[in-house]
Amino acid sequence: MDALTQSPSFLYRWTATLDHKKIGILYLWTSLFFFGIGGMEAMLIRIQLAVPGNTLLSPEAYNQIFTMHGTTMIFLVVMPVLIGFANYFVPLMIGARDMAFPRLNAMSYWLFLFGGLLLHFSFFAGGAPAAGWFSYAPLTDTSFSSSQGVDYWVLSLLVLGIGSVSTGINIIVTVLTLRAEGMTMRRLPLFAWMFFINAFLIVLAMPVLNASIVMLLIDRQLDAHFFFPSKGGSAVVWQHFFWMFGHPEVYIMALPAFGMISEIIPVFSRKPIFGYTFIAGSTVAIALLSFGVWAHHMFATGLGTSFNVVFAFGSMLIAIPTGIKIFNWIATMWGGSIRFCTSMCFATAFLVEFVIGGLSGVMFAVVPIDWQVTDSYFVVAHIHYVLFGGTLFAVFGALYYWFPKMSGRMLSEKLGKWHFWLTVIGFNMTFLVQHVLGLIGMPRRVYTYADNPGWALLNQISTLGAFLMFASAIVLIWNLFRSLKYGKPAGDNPWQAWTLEWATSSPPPPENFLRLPPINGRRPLWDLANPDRPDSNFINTGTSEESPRLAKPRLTAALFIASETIFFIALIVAFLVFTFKKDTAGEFAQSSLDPMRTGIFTAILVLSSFTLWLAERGMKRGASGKGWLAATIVLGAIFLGGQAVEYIGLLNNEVTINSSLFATSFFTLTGFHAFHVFLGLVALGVCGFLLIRKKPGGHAALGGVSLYWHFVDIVWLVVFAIVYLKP
Amino acid sequence: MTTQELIITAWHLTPISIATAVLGTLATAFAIWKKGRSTAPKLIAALCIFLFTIISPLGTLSEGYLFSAHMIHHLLLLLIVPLFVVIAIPGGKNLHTKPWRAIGWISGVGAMWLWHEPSLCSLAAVSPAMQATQTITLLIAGYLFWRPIMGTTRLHPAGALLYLFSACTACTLLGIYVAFVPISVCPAFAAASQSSPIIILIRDGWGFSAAADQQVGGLLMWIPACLIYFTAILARFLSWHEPQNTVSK
Amino acid sequence: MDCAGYNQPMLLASNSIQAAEVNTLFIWVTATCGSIFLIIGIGVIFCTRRFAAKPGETEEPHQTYGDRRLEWIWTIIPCLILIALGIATVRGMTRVLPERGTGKPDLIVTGHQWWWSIEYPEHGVITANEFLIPVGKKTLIDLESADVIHSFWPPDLCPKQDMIPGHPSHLWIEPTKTGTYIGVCAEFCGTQHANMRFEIRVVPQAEFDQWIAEQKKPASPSTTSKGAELFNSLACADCHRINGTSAAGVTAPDLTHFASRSRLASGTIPNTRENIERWLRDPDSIKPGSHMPDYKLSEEDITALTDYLSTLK
Repeated sequence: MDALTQSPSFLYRWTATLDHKKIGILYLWTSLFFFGIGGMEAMLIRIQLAVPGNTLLSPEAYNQIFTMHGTTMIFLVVMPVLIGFANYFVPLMIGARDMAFPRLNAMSYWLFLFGGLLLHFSFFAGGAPAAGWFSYAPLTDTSFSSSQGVDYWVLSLLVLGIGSVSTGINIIVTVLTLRAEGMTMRRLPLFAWMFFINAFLIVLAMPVLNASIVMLLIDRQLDAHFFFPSKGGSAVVWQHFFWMFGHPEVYIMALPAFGMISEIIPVFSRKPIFGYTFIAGSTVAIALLSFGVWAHHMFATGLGTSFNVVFAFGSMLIAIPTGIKIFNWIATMWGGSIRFCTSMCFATAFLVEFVIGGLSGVMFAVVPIDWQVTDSYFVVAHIHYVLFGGTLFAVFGALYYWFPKMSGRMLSEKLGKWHFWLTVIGFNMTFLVQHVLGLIGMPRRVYTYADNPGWALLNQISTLGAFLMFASAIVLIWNLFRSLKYGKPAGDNPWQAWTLEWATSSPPPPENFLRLPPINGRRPLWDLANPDRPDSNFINTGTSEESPRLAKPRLTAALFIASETIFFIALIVAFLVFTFKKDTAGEFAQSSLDPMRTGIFTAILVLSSFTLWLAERGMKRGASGKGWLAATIVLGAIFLGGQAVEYIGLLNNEVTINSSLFATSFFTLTGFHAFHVFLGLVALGVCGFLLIRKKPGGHAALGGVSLYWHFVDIVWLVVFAIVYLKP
Repeated sequence: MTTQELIITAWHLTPISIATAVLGTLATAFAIWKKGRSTAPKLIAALCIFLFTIISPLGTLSEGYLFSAHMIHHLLLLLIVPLFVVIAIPGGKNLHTKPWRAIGWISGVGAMWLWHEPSLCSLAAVSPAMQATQTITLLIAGYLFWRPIMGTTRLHPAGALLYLFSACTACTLLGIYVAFVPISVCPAFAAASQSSPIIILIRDGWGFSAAADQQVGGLLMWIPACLIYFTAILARFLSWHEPQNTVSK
Repeated sequence: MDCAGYNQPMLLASNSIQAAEVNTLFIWVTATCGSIFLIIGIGVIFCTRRFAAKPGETEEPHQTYGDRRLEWIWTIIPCLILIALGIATVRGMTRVLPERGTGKPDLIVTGHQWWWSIEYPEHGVITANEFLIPVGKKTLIDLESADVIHSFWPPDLCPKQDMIPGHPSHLWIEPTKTGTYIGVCAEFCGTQHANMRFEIRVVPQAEFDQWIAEQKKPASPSTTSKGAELFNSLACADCHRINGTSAAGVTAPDLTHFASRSRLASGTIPNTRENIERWLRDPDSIKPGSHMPDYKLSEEDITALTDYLSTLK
């Protein structure tokens, strides 16, 4: 690692880096790049909509542009910029040297870059996706979306999804295993806590997206039947699956922003955060509830009164923990001595903008109102208020707050104020009027509109606002580049802040800290500077003793297993849903299965778990265990062989992935399981290799891989029961 | 029959339900005597809910008439009554090991899933003996389930969260299954005698079809149950995080 | 594309029972949310004024960490507000969109890429894009889709419902004021999603009955005209239906009473001779990407077809 940081080659230092700080900065620059692209797409949209009947963009071009604008901003800008800041600051805030898995961390970044480029390559390969960022079926069927745009959308999201889940696992393991002495879970800075909870959301929600888009790809490329009603599938199931991911996704984009605000407001108000416990607890509440409100995106799809009531209830409930945070932030400002640097200006504006967005969200929870305003510009206004006025304002605040730490220089306050005011005025001008446009009947995703009274004027105001936002972005970029070169030197702690990242140089040395201050509370640097009134006199954050640290390999495996569990649950649910829609072709497919034979192979797989357990037990007692390990691999391979035999039998019987809905879900479910078995065999083989060559880490790795193997076997038992036995 | 008549007259006073009620009362009295006065409020609360479940018109409705009532019945017996009992009698220290936690989770989740197996469900709805069995198994499963959360040696809040969240996922899957599936999960309810005055009240008076009944039943399995888990998670988190109220002077 | 002459859809106008119900709910909810916003906004602004640091201030202010009681207050009060909203929501839902029941629909509206087909099953009438419903009568509309997801939305008449293929839905409309109401498609459905409008005219029952009677009549016969011949020979009849002739296509709008419509191409442009000719000459110039093929017709053919179509009152 030292050789890397010392390398004279700038390119090598940055492309081969495993340092979380450099990787964080890579994320930030790359997301800025994509922000530029997404922003240009937004400008094109606004210019096209400035006058009715505009011919600047053809409908085909416009539809690609708004799809790419949404996809880019969500997956290539907001998520990565938040992950970038987390990458840089979570290890620092907990007093760690780096992330738990630096190589995995680097891989996540490169997957992000690659995924983003792959998505944009579609422009050159016949057309970008043009079915909206949530790709509703059956519009995404090849007969309606004949270009490969949707396929690029799917593939790039798969790539991005793998990177995101890896980051999620990395953050969780980092926070749970690498905290410095005295940094207990109850003393975590709120940004670290919120990103920690957020990481669970990422790990559990992204697999639902992955399962959905995999099924979409199979539908499109293998002519299968999941989501296309013309072939017996269900378009509504796509919506359920997508929003099952989609709703937690919007909280994935909001929680880190809440964390940033929770860092900025206290520092610039010169007071500790008010109600830490409730902010931390409400974050947990939001994370839990976010999985239970997805169908509020589907109120207008005719789910029935009882379902609508349930989801309306949940959607209203989730407003409460968010509101609690807002009140606590205001209470933090109350009685403070507030310095209105640009960072604090953005954080204050966030409070107002996010509340507007949040309240318009509550309005959507009132179902009859949703029936009028969903899919109109009212919802476009809502999403931009929460994602731009909310998350991006928080990101801007974080940028002005943390830029000095990352670069050693201050951003210009003067340019910052220009950026701030241009943004606030431009943003509100663009999106406030869109509430009205929605209320007077303008639907969303339209490339043009009729010359109805008032529509043109309101659209023009919105477009004018967009130009102001464009100008504000120029100012920001100018500020960034200028300050990198000429900014005032920052010093260690220009804001006199209190969390650990400020207890080291700006930028920090490669190992992050030369010496950590003592950690006895939530604000180590406050305690150091105010020994007469340390936080511990007023608030109890427990002792510095901790519950025992968890073992890294098994924890990591458990998290990975959690994410894969969700993936399989999604596929199993799809299977069950379509089992009830069986037609004659499906009946035939089912009758072609052979439960007896598969039962034998199931027993073999279960046996392989047993031999693996024997291998580990043997190793614990000092024996080599390699024999049992080899047996496990052989048994697993036999299982795969059995699976292959079954597949061949089915194919010979004309039962293919597209012959019926049952066959589609059968092949998808068992196929992915077989793929997991195969990966498990590879992993076991690698462990075997490490053990034979007596390389370090072999035992620990086996500990994790064996959990994975047992998981794969348990999944098979469930699949076997549902697919082969239950009928 | 009108709704008012239902509430006043249709109390579930069969021999077995009365016997169960008496047994429950005796058990409560015994427990209070053994464990001390301080357990009385919680145990009496548990007893009241228990009696309400068994003897009130809810008990009647859940015995083959209204599937949603049957679901409420389950929830009260599995999640509410045992919760009060565990809080009152947190239990000794010998039940804190990992196997007991696994048993607790499997009992709680398993009991819910088990009694939704169509043939078992129908049997429990119509056969008094099966019903008594169901009542006892739900109570015991509930007690074992809540022990690791509210008992003497509790799970760490993170563990509690995992435990409850996974239980919530399991009951969500079950609830969604029951609510969405086109077949009848508990045929005894769908096949209830159309001439019974209670059924007439439900179908005509309330306008509640068998399909709608199952849908609501599934939603009850899911939402209230998960809300209970959710509240337990938050309560555990708060008590871990801030053991005492602190205000700066 | 000129689009003048349309009503301005006004959400806050209440031209039906359903729209009125939503509007009332909307006003109350906006008032509630608006008040909450004002309280928070004033709180924030107050803090920025009152607690701004004085220039040169170095002393740290009094440090407060939290207050349990306050937390419960600002948790319980929002809960109470939301309970009220929740009750209003359930009430509103049952009033605006009650269950369908098992009755026969008054209308079946099917969404297509990028037009609307309307059927009155009781009367055996089929038309496209523009239709009438009687004022003061509770009308049940079944919604379906022939291809992708669409959404039926006449904003000042009733809220929307999505039309999902394979997943029928329904709407109830009980209009209280006569008039002409424009609707749009509110679910992105492809290239010409923006130009998929429909028009509902709410009229007294008598006028509605008369219109139905007219619609029931087959097209005025002129099978010998050149336009009619071209219509069949050019395969227009494969997609379009004209009742009373051999043209029986269902994948494109029904043209039986085409000349009585006010607009063409699903509400895109007014229905004038000139526009019909423009459409036949080059559909893509008006609605690029629409499924109407460009037959590269000669001017003669265009005139003949336009003559014929203009007779279809």
